[in-house]
Amino acid sequence: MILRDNTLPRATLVESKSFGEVNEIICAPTNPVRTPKTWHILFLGSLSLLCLLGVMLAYLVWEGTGIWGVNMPVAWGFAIVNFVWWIGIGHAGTLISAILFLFRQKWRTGINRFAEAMTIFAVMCAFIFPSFHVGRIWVAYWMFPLPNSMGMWPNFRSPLLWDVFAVSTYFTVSLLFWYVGLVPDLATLRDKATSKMKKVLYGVFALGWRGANRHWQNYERTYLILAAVSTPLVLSVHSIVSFDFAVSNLPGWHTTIFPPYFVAGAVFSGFALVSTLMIIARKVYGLEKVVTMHHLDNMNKFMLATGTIVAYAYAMEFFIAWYSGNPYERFAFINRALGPYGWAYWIMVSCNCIVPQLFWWKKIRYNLLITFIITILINIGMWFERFVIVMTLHADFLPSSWGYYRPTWVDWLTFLGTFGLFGTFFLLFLRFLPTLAIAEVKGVMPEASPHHGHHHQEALTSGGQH
Amino acid sequence: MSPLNLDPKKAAPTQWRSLDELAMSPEFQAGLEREFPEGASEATELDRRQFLQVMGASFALAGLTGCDVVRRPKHEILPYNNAPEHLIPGKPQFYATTVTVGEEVMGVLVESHQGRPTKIEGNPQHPSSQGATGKLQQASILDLYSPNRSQKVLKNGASSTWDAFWGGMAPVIDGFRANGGEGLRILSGYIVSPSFAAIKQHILREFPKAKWVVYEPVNRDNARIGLLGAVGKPVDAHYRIESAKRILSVDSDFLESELNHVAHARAFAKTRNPDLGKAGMSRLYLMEARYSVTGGVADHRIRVKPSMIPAALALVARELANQGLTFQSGETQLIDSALSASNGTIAEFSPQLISELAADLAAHRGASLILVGKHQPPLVHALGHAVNRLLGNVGTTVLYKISPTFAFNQDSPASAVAIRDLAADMEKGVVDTLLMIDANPVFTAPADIQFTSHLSKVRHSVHLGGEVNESAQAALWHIPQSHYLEHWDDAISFDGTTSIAQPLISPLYTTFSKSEVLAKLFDYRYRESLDIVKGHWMSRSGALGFEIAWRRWLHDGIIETGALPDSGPGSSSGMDAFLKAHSSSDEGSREGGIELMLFEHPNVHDGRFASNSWLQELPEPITKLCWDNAAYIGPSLAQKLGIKDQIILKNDKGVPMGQYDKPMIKVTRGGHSLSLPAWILPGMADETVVIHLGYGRKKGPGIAEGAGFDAYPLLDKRVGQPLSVQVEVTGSTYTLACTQDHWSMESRPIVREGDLELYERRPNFSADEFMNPHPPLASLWEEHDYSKGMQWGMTIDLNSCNGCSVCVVACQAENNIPVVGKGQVIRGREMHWIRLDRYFTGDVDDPGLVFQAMLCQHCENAPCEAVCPVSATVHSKEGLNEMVYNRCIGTRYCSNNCPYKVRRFNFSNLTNHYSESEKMQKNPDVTVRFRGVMEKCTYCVQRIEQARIGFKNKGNEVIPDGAIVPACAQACPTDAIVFGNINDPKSRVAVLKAHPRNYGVLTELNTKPRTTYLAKVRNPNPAILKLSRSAT
Repeated sequence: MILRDNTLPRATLVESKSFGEVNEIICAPTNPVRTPKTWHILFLGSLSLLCLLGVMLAYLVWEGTGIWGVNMPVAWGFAIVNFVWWIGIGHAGTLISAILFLFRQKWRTGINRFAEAMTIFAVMCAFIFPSFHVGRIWVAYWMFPLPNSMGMWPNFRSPLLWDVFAVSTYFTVSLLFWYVGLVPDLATLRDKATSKMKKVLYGVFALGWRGANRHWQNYERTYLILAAVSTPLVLSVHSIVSFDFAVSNLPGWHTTIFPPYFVAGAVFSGFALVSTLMIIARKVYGLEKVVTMHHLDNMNKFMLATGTIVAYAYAMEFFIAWYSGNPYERFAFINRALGPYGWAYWIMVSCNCIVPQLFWWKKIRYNLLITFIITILINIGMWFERFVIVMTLHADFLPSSWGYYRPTWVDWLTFLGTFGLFGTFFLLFLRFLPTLAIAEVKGVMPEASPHHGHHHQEALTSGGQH
Repeated sequence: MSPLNLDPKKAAPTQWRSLDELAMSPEFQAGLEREFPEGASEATELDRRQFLQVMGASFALAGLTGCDVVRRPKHEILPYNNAPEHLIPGKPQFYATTVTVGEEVMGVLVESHQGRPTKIEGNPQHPSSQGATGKLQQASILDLYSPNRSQKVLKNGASSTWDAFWGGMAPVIDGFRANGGEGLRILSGYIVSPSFAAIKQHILREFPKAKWVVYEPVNRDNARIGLLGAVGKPVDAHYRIESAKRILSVDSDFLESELNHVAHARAFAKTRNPDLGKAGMSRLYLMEARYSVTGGVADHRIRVKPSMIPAALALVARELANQGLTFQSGETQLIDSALSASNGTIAEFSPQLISELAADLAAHRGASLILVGKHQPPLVHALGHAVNRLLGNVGTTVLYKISPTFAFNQDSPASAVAIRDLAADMEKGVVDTLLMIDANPVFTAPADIQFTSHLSKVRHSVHLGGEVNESAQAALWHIPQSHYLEHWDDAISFDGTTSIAQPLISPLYTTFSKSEVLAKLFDYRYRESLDIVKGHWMSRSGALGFEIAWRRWLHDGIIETGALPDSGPGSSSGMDAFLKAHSSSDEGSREGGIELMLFEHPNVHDGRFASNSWLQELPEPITKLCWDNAAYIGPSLAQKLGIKDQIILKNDKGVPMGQYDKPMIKVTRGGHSLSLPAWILPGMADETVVIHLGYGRKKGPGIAEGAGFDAYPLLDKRVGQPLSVQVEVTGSTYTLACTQDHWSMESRPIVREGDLELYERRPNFSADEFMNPHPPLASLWEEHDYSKGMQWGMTIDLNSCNGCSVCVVACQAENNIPVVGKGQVIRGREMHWIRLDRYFTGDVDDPGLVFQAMLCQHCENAPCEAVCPVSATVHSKEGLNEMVYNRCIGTRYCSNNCPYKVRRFNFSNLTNHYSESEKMQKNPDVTVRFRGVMEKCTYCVQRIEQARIGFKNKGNEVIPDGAIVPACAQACPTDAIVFGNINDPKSRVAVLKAHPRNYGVLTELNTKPRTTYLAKVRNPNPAILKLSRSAT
């Protein structure tokens, strides 16, 4: 399904007429005169939410986790739900940058910059939660293996420690990947810059890019290596995040299916958010010619595939719970579906398993409004998936310790605040950096083909990177 | 700097808190309003010059009166044992003293750190304690340091002074001297102190027309009256539960709320060892309407509507008569009277059940025992004793001894009558002065006598008490009372054991004991509490050798007075008069319908402990409710009332989690009604509402106010009397805090229970019957080597444990466990390191009940340790799962991975609001935890280390068995908790771990818990089991 896209004519990937127009379309948002009003409104909103996040976190540090809804059976609440959700969202970026790149999926060029940026900002949001949810945030750095006079090392058996490494590696590599990809485009912006300051700033970050052959060679090699480095990360990060649960002995957590199921779920939610944002951005910025319906169609197919994997995982969890004969395991799953949090379970199943099946119909895949709604539902569903998993804590082995978790207003506002963080950075990205990889988009245009003008359609599809 | 007044007349206070007090400056007078002296919070703002001035004055004055840096009592008190020559910092000392709660006298040892008493422990030499305590005694130390304590004299609610009080009362007393005490009433609780009784005698001798009113809202008057009728003498029944093989308890919660319950619990637990076999293990039948902890351990619990309880006993008695026991004529009348008093149909009782029960009792003549609850009418008590005599139990399982405190209280009628007489006198205006001595009648008096409004007719009303309660606010004067750890006292227990109560600390505030106040007011020959007590005993035992005896008494905590003589079975010759006086008519309502029974609350008692935050947060043993009381109703009544709570649906096994909003019901009796939340309690008698008294303090200090609902207005004559009420659902809801949402075990092998027959057939049933064979479990990680050295472990005998929860309080006191409050309990953040899990078993209408103390299991393969990212919880070489507070960053992953969920997290800073006085209670050997760290049971590691240091100093590296007793085990009346070195095959704990009943919870997870449980074995009557099987 994915590979077949390779055979698509370049003309359907980019509906633009010329390199110049592509430059024009993508660089337009960086021109203050042409910044749409919507941007200002959204930015103001996001900034307010970011301030809200700051206030909520300050309140948290001042008062302690008691202001959240966490309690004794449910010692992890919204913080971990949000953490896993945000990390999952980031997954589409790496997948698009690395795996699709290695598979020579040219349509990725329309969305990769976007998705990579999203990854970075999502991981930043995710970072907030594990670091702030600890009881004594001022000593959270003890999680890092810092040499000290007491010879105290962190506990290398703890999945939380693995998390620290996994997430920080992921963030570093993603940032590097994103930046390397940006270099040629930063040079374009530098060249188009109208003010001195812009010229200097873009110039510094463009690292003296002149588009020389040697530059391109080094660039392509670096990009390829980074893609290879990132590829295992796509699988490892969410596998390790899933270890937080799978390595424990809690019924409903202690399952081997978690790593693949978490990765699929992460890609699922990541694509959904890329779609959501892309649908808005292409409308606001008029990117329809570069990000075509065809791109959205491909992403919808991804969602259909990963959504089905997730649905299979849900079913398999239930089956294994029954098949294992473990009464605690059986209870945990029956309780998920029929217990006090049954409502969350059914939201999850509806949004993640049933709704994406609509993408079997091409009409729906090509309907912007329905796609938009479905992507939002998927993200709600995926959030509830993590909620359902974390809430497994509420009823484990000894019925005497069972309890109930209710988020407080601080929980809600903190979660809302992370949208502010995400939105602020994302809008700044839209405003100051090229939203799409200009060089890469040009590379997949008919004009970039060595055979351009020769009407050899077959040859067009077999070329490598240009 | 205030001018120091060094005038010897004024500058000679023996104790002073600040230089200003010494000088009695106006600043100090104003400072009395403040909690702490000014300097305490402002010293940092002094400049160098002021500092030197203050310090200079301090040094100068230090020589004048001696400096009370260590707040030790100014009189000599003796350490219990190991008396160190000097105070050794860091080494606690233990002093023997006595705690009195109502009629309950208990000898205790108080742990003192550098002059600060921090913890109450039982006195092994005192028969009521035998080393254990009840939870009220255990928690009473908190009252000493409570910031809610009354600290100053109040007149009409406004701040006043002691001098004003003495001055104001002097002419009043002088007036009484002239008229012989006409119009003087003194109201006190039940008197158990010989020296206080001597003061009372002095007052009544000097003021012959004065009247002394003894009023205890929760009392044993019925038992006393019934016994007087049955035996003919003012005796107390002394039960020898250890020799009883068959016990029938008629609404007697003798393991928790009856007199001497701590000793009874210990004796009863001894008879519950299944290894005694069919001939040796006791069997407990229990008839009750509520669900008590004693009901939880009963082999056969028979649910009886409150008004039917007398009939239930009468039926047993009649059946015994049918089986050949010969009752005397008066006793037959008792049976008839009890049967006629219950208008309910006696057909409710299965005749076969009664007949098997009676046959079982009859088969154990001389080794059976009928216990009647203190709230049952005198008639039932008389009947109970008649049955006991006929069964030959008198002299074997029950002894009658003249009550040693009878003489102290005999001039006042029974409490229920006394308070009415007093109110009537007050209404008539003949009461000029009422002294309320450590009592709170405004709150506890039955509403219909309108005590409060009559109090306004009393010209001089004085309230002496430890807190500014309802009576304090209604009275003209309130004067603050010393805590029992601040003054000398003595007390005589019901069995005649007399003990001295010595203070551990000089009064924190300017307060006096009740003896001191009365002695000063009425010009007794001694004024100070030490002189009053010492003088009394010197006059009794003579001055010769008194000092030596006195020192021994203080050391032991008890005065050897010898056991009380057995007064024999007595005679029932007075039975006719008794029957005439206590016919069924005085028991009031038997109208049928829904019946209400009011009981004292097991934690806050009659309300006197309502401001004790430990007891407020301690879950009520059966319902696990805290911070409130509620109307307990059975599932069938709930269904009838249309209360929709999922518990009524029999196929749903639990309370819906997280739903604490409970429907309010309105309970109406006569003109009084009370709206309170309904709590559906499985196992309650049908058509019965039970409400605990002691809650709903209207003007209680601090936390007492606003907690729960005051049921005293519904009180008619006496506590525990069945009252016919109307109940309706109001439609509104109220949020209750419950620490255990779920009541079913979900068929999981958590508490393993079998009957004696099964145990004798398969001693290993706890392992065999509940677990499937499986291959050996392997650990992912390298396991520690536990074969060497001392390895700590614990066993908890589920057969001994009755769920009384004293271990929870003891642990809280020992380990500085904070109280979180109702809101946080609702959030699920209670901090108790031990919880007593309560599970109902079987049918929802008539379920069984089991308790399981759940605390850190100190798993050898601890799941918590593997997941902590910073290794803040680690294993010691001796097998302890240790929590390193300093290292903990608070990820809470350990709690998630703990299958027992015994870890507790400081979500908020629970310790930074402690007042200076509360800080004094904290155990210096245990860290006071900051927010953001995890905590849990440590097996009282501080006690292990104390013992280790002690023995190491003696050159002994090995700590002998029994030298380390964790706080929970120390307080446990039944010795259910045993701790020790499992590597020593002779240690008690190792022997118990080798016992066939031993099992671990969730061992299938390969956690290898160091805390294991001994399975519960009940001893039901096979004949009755057969009955119930054929019935279903």
